[in-house]
Amino acid sequence: MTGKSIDLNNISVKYPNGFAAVKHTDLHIKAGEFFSILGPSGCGKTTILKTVSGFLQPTTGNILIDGEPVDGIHPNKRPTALIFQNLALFPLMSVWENVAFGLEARGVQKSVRREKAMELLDLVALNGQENKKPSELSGGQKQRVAVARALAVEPSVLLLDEPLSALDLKLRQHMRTELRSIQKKTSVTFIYITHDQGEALTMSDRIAVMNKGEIDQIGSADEIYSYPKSSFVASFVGESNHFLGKIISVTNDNGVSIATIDHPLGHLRGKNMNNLKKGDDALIFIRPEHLIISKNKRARQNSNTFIGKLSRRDLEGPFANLFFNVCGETIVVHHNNYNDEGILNSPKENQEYILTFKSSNARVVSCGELASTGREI
Amino acid sequence: MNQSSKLLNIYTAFFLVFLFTPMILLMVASVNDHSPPSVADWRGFTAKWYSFYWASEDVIRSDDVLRSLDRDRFIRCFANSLTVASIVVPLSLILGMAGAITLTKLNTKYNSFLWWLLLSPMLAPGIILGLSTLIFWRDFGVNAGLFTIIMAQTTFISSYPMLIIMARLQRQPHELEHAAFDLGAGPIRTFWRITLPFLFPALASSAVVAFLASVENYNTTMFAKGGSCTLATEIGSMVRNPNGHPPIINALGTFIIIFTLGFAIIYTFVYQKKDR
Amino acid sequence: MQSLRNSFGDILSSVIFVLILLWGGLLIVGPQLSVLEEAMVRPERQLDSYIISNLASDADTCQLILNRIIDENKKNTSSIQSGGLASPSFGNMSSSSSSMNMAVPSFGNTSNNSQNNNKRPFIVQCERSRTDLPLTGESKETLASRYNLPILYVDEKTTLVEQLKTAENISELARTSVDKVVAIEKATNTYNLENFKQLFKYSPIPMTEEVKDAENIKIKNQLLNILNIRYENEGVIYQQITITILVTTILYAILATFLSLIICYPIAYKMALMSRPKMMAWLFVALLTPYSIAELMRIYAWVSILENNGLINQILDWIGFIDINAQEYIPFKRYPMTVFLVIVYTYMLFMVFPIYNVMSTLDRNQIDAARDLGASMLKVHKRVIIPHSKPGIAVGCIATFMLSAGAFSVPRIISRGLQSEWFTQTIYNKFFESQNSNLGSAYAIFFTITCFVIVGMFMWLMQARLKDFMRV
Repeated sequence: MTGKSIDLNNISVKYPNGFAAVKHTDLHIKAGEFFSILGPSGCGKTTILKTVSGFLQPTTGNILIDGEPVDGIHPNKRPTALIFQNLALFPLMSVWENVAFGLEARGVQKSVRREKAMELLDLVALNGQENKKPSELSGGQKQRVAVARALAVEPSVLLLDEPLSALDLKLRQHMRTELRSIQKKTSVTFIYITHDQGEALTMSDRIAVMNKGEIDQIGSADEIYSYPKSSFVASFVGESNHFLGKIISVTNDNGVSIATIDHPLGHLRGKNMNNLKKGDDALIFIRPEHLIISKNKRARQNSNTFIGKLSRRDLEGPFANLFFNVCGETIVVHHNNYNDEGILNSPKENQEYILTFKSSNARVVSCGELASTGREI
Repeated sequence: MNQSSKLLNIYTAFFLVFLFTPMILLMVASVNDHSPPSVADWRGFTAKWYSFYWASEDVIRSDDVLRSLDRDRFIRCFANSLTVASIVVPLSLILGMAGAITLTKLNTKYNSFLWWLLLSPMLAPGIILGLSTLIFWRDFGVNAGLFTIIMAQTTFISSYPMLIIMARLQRQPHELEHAAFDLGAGPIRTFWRITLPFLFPALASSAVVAFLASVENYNTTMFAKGGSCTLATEIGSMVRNPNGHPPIINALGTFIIIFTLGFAIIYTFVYQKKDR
Repeated sequence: MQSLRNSFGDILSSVIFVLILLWGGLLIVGPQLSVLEEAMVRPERQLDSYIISNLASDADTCQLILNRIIDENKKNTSSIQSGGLASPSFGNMSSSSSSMNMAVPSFGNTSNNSQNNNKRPFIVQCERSRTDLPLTGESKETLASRYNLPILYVDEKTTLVEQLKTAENISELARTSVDKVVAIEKATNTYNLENFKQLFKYSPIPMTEEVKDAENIKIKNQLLNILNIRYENEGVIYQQITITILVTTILYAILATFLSLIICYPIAYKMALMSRPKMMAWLFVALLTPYSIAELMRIYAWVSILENNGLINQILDWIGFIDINAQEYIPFKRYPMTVFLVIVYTYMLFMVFPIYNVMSTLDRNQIDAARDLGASMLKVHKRVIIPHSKPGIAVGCIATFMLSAGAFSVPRIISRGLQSEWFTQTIYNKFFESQNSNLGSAYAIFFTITCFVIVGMFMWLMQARLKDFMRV
């Protein structure tokens, strides 16, 4: 099995009711890559998957697999295999028949089919389960049957449509590693659709973040997390605090463009991600883990400092979420429970603290849409 | 237990008595040595009304009442019923499945028209279907007979499998079919390996329903039968005997009731339990 | 169309399409259209071509008989009057095609007046041999006037030879005209609504004054008077007999539906919501059994109860109310009410199951919640259970109504078809008793449309959809 590259050239999909699910999108996915498309539900990620698998004809543009256009080729003739959100295992066939179905469709002899199915069941650690019906398996086992079934047709591209969403948290985390290792072993190109950033960040070589039918940013997990290029990406991936203001100056600090925003809290400085200019409206994002709390009320610095009153402390395990009230706004800070010496180090509620952050950790992006984070405040 | 549910129980009991009394009387008369059938005039237990269906010629000839009956004709009509059913059942399953698939998958503005069209034979009075089939085929030079019975019955019996199959078809996740396509199966293989096995329980119960509907049908068949007969029309003409017919009908009826009861028990306690 | 092809491919889609076409076209629409055509054509015996070809054969028969009489007369005049009766054999005459050639003329007076060559007995075929025969329909036209034929008739006053000559002429004229008339009939649009108009025809009902007075007070007749189906003119009662039967049938069917609903709603409620699972299963068996038993058996079960020497009459005999041996009995099977009750018995289970199936999907917690909030049981039914069960109630009502209105087996078996106050019986009689399938077709179409209009109105009223049929 070898992976193949995929190119989307100017793909757009418009449904008969006029809804544009995907808008003029270009995408290049390298052969053998674990590529995730991350976005909230309704952003068009599943639509992209359907066009690649051939269940949906794009309204404009074309798709190349391994450099070859695949327009008009039916799903059953494409070198892709799809793993459905609900897995779509055939309920009346045994596990091995499920796995061997693709071979059956290609007219492979029964003994060969069975042998191949056993091999794949070995790969996904399901030996001994071949004669069971899918309904007799656990959630994780079903998951692996679906993967084995898709791999049986030796696809060059495996398309996964939120396959882990039905599993519970523990199993989901376990399956992440499994999927990743299967991908490594087979070197098939994986296109993984998810709304769960944890899945995308842990497994992928590269991630595309989608919103409203458009790809906002493509990059490695680190790039997406640390260098968001839009307000949507910054707010959708990971947690963050944001402030809106006007840029009052752009300076160059050792080759890094730093923008300063004027905000009622004071001047806030961060890395200029979009080449913004003085006078532009901008958003500055600061991740909770980048805010530093100090007790001693030193003289206020010029920028990147404000005073907040701790209103609530939620213990998360290794760290706590601290909610500060800063001039009427709530700001969340991740705070380690123990300091470097291992002494419990917990701020007190209803006390005032000084919050600071480094300009190199803050990101300034142009104004745009924010993801609804669902964060509890 | 409160007042109203006590009342409801009493009502249910009355309802069941009303429902079953005629049938129990029918069964009692089937073992009474009295012709025409009677329960009021008890002449002793007999099984001869049952034995009519299998006893030898000599036994029947020796009995005053049974002698007058035409068993060969009865058997001929019964065989006709089986012939008709053996064609109507597969035909109505095929048509019903086609209808179910069309109504489920076809998404056009004509859908509600199709709904009306394909359900109208089930709603329309049975005699209308019988006489329209009669006239239609007469214009093609086909005389009324088993063929017109088959055509007329298929017209409306197909609607039952259609509804049963459609109910199941709508429960099938459409991803199954997509998954099969994606794995390289063509539409025919997908239908054969995925959809048809999924529909099998619905097809089985449709076949039973269609068979019963075909054999017991009287209204439609009466119009389409011409000179031929089926079990139902034969029973119908026996029953219409103004002087009362020997209780062999009661015997047959008793057999049907017991058979149906057994079937209902199996259906309720085995089939339905599995379904849940 | 696209989604069908996507799922089933071109081959299977075409197969399915063809099957639907066969079912819809060959089995459903085609037959209905041919019934419509049948209904819009006048019965064959009312056609001009039928009349004129009958005229030809009548004239032929007339000639045959006249020839015989002439021969007979010759023999009689040549031979000595022996007083023996001449009795011509008519054996070879029966081949004439007229269906009414049974009139055997009496030759009694032939021999008595044998000298008078011009005298002949009454011969119906000769009487009918005239070109000015009236045509059917509302026009006062005759065959001669419509097709420009000379007016010829076998005149009794002329000599037998002249009569024979005229009959020959008529026969020839008729024969040559038949093709022309057939051609004209083919060319002109023969479709008309005459058969449908027959439905609405008022017929005078002869009855004595006492009977009339008794009939007039009946509620049913007063209702018919209001609907203008029945009226009295100059002491004679006129009534649309066919429409009366149709209206009665529909009213009975509506009543049967309503009665079934009232009887069966509590049963469905008991089974769906008021029983423990085990109890529910047994109740299900108890209702499924009679439901699945052949309709004929359910009806037949009543025959031996309602028979003239059936159970009820025997019981009445036993308590001394009547005496069966003295031919005293109550003829239940003649009463429309009996047919009605057996219809209710036979079809009411079609009400139970649809309601039960929908009602059992109701979450019992909803009832408890409503009760908990202080609603009376009546209120719970009105606001929770009935709204939830509405699709089932609608389907049950439609099924019961259509089965009751279209009931054929019940009146045929219970009343032996004698009591034809059920419209299906009327249609059957038109088809198989009076052999008038044209009129029968018109009745059938009108009946079907009436039923479907009622069902359509009911569905609109209940806001039910045909899709609900799938849930039950």
